[in-house]
Amino acid sequence: MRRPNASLSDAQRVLARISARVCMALSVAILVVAGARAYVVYPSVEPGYRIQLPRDEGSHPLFKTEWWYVTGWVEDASGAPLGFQLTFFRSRTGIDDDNPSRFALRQALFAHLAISDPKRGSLLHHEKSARPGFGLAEAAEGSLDVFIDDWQLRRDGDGYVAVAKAADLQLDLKLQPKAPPLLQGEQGFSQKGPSPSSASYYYSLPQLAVTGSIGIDGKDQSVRGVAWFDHEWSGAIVDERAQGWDWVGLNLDDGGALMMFQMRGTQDSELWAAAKWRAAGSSEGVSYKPEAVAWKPVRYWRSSRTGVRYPVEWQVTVGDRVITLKPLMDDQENDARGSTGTIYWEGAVRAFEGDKPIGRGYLELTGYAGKMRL
Amino acid sequence: MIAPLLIEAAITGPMRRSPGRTLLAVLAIALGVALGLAIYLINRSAADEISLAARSLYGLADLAIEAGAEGFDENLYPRVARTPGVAVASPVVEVEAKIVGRRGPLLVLGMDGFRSKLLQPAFAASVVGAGSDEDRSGGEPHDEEADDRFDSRSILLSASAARELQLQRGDFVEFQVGVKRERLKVSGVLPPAALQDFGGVVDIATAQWVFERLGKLSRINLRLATGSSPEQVKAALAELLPPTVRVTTPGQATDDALRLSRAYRSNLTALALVALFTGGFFVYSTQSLAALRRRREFAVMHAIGVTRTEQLLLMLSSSVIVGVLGAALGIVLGVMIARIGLSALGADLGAGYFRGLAPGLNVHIAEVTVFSLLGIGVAVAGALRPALDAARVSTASALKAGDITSGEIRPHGWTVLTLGALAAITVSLPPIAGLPLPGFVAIALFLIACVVAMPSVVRFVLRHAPRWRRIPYEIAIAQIAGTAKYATLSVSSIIVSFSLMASMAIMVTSFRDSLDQWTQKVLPADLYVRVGYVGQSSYLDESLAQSMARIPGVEHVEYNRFARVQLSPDRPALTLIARSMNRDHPDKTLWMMSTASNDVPSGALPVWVSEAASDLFAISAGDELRFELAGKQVVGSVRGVWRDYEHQNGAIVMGRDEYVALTGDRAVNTVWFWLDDGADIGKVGNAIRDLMPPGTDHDMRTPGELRKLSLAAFDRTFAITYLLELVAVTIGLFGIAAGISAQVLARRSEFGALRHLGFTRSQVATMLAIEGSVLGALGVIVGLLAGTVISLILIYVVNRQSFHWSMDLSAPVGLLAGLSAALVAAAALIAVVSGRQAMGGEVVRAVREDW
Repeated sequence: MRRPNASLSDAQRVLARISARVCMALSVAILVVAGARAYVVYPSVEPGYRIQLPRDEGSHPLFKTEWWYVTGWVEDASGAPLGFQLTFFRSRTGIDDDNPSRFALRQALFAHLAISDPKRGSLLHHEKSARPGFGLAEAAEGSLDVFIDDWQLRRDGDGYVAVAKAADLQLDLKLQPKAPPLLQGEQGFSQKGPSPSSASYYYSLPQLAVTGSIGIDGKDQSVRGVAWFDHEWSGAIVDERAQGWDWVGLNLDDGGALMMFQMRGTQDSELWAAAKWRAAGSSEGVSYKPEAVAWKPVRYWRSSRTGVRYPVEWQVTVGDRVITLKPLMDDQENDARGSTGTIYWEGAVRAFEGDKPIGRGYLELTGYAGKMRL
Repeated sequence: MIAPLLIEAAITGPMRRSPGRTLLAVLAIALGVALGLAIYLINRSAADEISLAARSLYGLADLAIEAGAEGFDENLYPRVARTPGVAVASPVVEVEAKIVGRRGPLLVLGMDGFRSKLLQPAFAASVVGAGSDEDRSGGEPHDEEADDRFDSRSILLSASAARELQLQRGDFVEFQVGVKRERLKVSGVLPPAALQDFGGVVDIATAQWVFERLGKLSRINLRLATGSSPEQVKAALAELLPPTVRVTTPGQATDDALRLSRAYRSNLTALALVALFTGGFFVYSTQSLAALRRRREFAVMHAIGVTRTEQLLLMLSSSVIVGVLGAALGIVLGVMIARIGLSALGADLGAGYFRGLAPGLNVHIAEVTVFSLLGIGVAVAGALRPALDAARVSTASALKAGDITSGEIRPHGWTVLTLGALAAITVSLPPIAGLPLPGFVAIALFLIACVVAMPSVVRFVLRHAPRWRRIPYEIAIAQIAGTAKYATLSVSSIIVSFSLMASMAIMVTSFRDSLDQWTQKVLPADLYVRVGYVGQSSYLDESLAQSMARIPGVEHVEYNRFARVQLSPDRPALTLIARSMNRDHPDKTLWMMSTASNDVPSGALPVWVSEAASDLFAISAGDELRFELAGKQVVGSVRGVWRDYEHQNGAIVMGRDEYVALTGDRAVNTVWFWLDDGADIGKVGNAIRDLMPPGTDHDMRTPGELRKLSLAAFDRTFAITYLLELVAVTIGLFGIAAGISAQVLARRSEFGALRHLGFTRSQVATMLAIEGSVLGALGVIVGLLAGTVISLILIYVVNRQSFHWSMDLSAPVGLLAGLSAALVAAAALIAVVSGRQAMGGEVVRAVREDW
């Protein structure tokens, strides 16, 4: 569940807030829309759907939510590590279906960009949102091409391009797959809770070779490294009992890939968990059931900004493997209360088996500042 | 050496001895300052409010793309957004939406919140509260609920709209679009600073859909990228945009909004300054009188060693005291008046320019300082001439007894001629920055010339005064002739205030009568039904309008449709009126001022332009006029210029058939009904109402009602000018009172002598009454003449330049006659009352005072 996590809910909140800003206020729910909305049917996520690429890279506008997520580790010319993350969210609003205006708000797009630079010690991040249309913001069907103004994530030949520009942060990267796509869950059907009704279609592209440049505070540097791409779409994802979730995706140094997550219920108890491990060179991964996956916090860090305490170091168990996750830096907290109202932690981590480094990836921790909601 | 004793003798003593006159002088200055400050403050509050309002419409935008009329194609939006240098492009659909059951439209802004939040964070901030509320109360909100937030059929109201409509979150606003009803739910109320207008914000897709603006935008607000040059971006945009779409800055929009009312506001300010001017003149006349009376005092001062400069300073300092007191009182009064005016009449003082604005008042120290200095300056300027004269008096002759009253009068032929010539030159100058400033200057010059000419006039009149063998009369005339300088001063103060007031009365009456005739001329039908107006959302379908023609009792009908036309990107849009026109006899429905003699060139459409359009765009009958309508270039041939008191930005009339052919727009805003003889207007009205969908908001009026309405609006607009006139006249009356009473009081010994000679008290009173009324009549007659001249300047120069409205001269004879009689009577009464007072004491003994 990853990305549905913090960022999604965050996205939804952005969306909600913004539309609240201009088009409405919440409790309005009622009359006007209620009627219209009753007929909005979101397709459900069923086991057995065959994900086909590149067709399924593109947007699935009938589904309620969808996201494309790139995270990765890069090094600049001096060898200093940087973590980066660029995400696009799409949300079907369920309204305006019969509004003939080209501005009709049937879909909304959001994007989030963050850089973890240990020299700064905290995240540098920006966000963008738009209603699709007029060629200024779109999520294309049939092939990966999603953009808001000059932020974009799209297929380019047999690779991908990720571009985002903000005042003090520019990212312009080429992503080249070095391994086949990894279908999560059962052939891409990824169950998110005890009930199969909370699930998503989910595949990943681990081990993407990254080249390009990242500019921070006007200083452009060429970088190279390795990234992880996730694409997930769904109607209803999160089990109602879930308080939050922890997710990690690791590019293993030997060429393998590991994704694992847990949904936490009250008292941080494990509600559901899953993992997928693909050894280097194989095309299929091994799925692990909830009982074979365990998350154990090792070290906590408390944010002086928000007072929220996050378990930033973990010992996770997948089958018989025990892996330690250590953050690139402690403060990778996203405090989006000002804009979207949520607080979560998402950042670059290293993975160790015993003392031996085995890979690098991204860890996401949500629900520590209160229940996460989508 | 100016000892305290001297100060007592020269300054405070005289003031104490004539507390009434000092008080009047203070009051005169105070009223002038108060009115000037009040009008200024009200105007400034309105201007502040308007620029705030414009700022909230444009947010942080650096530039805006706008088209007048009906907006522009939405396909421009992506092209504009992608122009290099543009960081944020926020599209806006602006609709003047008709609210069911309410006069006056609501300004509805359709916005894309994703874009506008970057430019108008105030709109966003306002709802954060609402959101968190809900977050708290939501408990376990659900995906579904979250999406309800997208309710696209809701509106955020501005604070002023919510207040006026008495609506709150959760209520519904019902709009009339065409004759359909559309309702939007109030999803929240914006903070007062977010949107100043009587308006609301909706989602842009909702606006396009609900208000029938699909495919159209009204504006795109632009934020430029850091470091990009506005000029370059403007140039790049200009290449992209069709000619009718313009690039503006938010400041320009404010200017447009203010321009409409600027002439009105500047005229009010000029009037307010007239009050200050008369106040200054009052100080002048009282000080002159005082200087005459105190010649001997001054001579004594010289004799004991006070230098002339010191004496001048002493005299001026007493007027400084008057000025300071008057200014202080005036500031307090002015702020009070402004406060009351704003709350009672609104920022436009009832003229109807700024609807829905509820400005607060804050006063800056600089403004207080300027108006205080103005008051003090006027007081000192008024006292300067008398003080200089007094300082020049020769000690020896002034020390002698008697002769305190004669003050010889000198003719100033050349000065009068020069002033008159200057006035004539200024009056023919064009307006400055659209304001009739030269007209006002000409009026001031002319008035000064009148005052300067008064001594000669008085002398001339007295020389030719009719003979009448009655002792009191002869003595009165002799007295006036002997004290010509006094007489001149008293008469002058009447002239200044009365001529101004007469001119205003004549101007207002001319305007009102012309308006009255105009309404009768342009409303030839028997009944009018209007649905919607320029740029508003409501209208009638043609088929509905046609069915109205078939109502029994209706002889025939004509249709009007209102639209907007942009003639120049730098000027506000004109109103286009499409209606059935009789090409050969346009004067049947328009009041033609001039008509073209040439033929309509082939390919050109006949159009008729209003006087304002003719003035503003320099178009005359016979000219060719090019404009864009519904995306098509139209070549019009101006068939004539018509008088119009309705559309201040100008209007163009064209035939409805041509309009429909060009635009395909068959909607109707006004239906004119001509009824059969003997038709029952009430029945026809009911039949019309029955035809319209229930609850359609419309205006049904007979010409009589329309006439009454427009005159009522006129009177409301001019109410404030009546008030200002009244104040000017009051100050003028102060002048008469002070002048005559000072003179009379100074003549105690003369009355004593007359009584010794056997005059009865009533004969003395009669004599004084005659003196008073002669002076009054002289002032009134000259004032009337001068007033007529000034009113001509007001009508043909000031008003024409301010509003581009011409009018026919028409004098309120009854009112002027009544006022004249009242003024003459007041002058006589004041003289008699002062005389009573003078004779009250030991009059007979007073003879002795005059050794």
